[in-house]
Amino acid sequence: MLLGRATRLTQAVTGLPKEYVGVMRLHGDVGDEELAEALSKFVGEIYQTPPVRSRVARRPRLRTVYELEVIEREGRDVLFRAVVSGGTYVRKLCHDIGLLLGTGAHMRELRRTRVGNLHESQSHSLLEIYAAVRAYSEGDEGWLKSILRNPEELVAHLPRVEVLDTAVDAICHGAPLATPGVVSYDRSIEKGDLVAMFTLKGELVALGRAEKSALDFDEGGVFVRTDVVLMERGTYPPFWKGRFRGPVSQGRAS
Amino acid sequence: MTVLRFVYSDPFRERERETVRVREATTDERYGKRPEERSVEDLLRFGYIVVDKHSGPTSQDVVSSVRRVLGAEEAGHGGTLDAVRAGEIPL
Repeated sequence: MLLGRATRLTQAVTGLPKEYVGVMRLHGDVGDEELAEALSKFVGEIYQTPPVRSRVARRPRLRTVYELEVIEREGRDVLFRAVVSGGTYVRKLCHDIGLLLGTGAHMRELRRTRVGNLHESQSHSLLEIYAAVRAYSEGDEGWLKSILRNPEELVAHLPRVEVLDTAVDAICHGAPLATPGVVSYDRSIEKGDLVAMFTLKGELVALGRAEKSALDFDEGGVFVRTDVVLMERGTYPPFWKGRFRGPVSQGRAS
Repeated sequence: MTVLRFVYSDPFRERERETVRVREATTDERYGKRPEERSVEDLLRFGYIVVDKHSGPTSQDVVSSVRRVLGAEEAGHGGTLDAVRAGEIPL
């Protein structure tokens, strides 16, 4: 559940790899070796066409199955664990495995156990969240404090760029980040990559698209085109304003 | 039965970041706030919660209840703060 300005991170998060545990029901009897053979074919990069009932365009899309494991097997029921890239339909995966086996198969049950670095063990039930919010409204904030998390964790998988204090507010206004405003950057950045821009205090400022790869940084000019602003304007002073002078209370200059 | 496991790669592995430092710089403590120092109010305006939706009432019911309680709390402070917006990642 994303709160406040963090709702703008939805897009960045849906692409995260996910882990699932599920039960696949085979429609025929299959030997262990045959099953293993079929599974091995689905690990790595695969193509998937989204099902009829989906919001996305029904074009075959390249997805990655990072890991497939059979935890336990009882006849035609297979308890499995799958680690897949964001947007991969596990139901379709089970269906296609069944096709390859020739017997057919379908997914009976599925539970998502991990999204990016977020584990099932860190989750809180809706009832607990509601109770913590109630406690907070009655003056006790400890419980709610322990449940709330920093959105920076949600972009830990993206390449990082650290910016100078003087560049922050301009970025908050949507300005692109030019090389003079950069303190550090990930060597892995390629042109077109989604990157996360941070202050030197570790606050997430905005997400953007790299205009050039890390190798071309020394060319100068615009480095990152600002895409999604997360930080509130005025958090840092508006150094970008020509007439700005001196420190500013609350970050708003005349 | 032996466990069957096929691994292509581990997307969760902590990637070793190679960071290029362009210049030495310090940050002014007068503005901004380190994430670890954020208050509950700060996190309600910019934060997230990992929700287990497998048990309990429908997420819509609870999200509205949560919004209502938080919204009421904000109004209670007497400020002109926006009502807390909550969005869900459609996982």
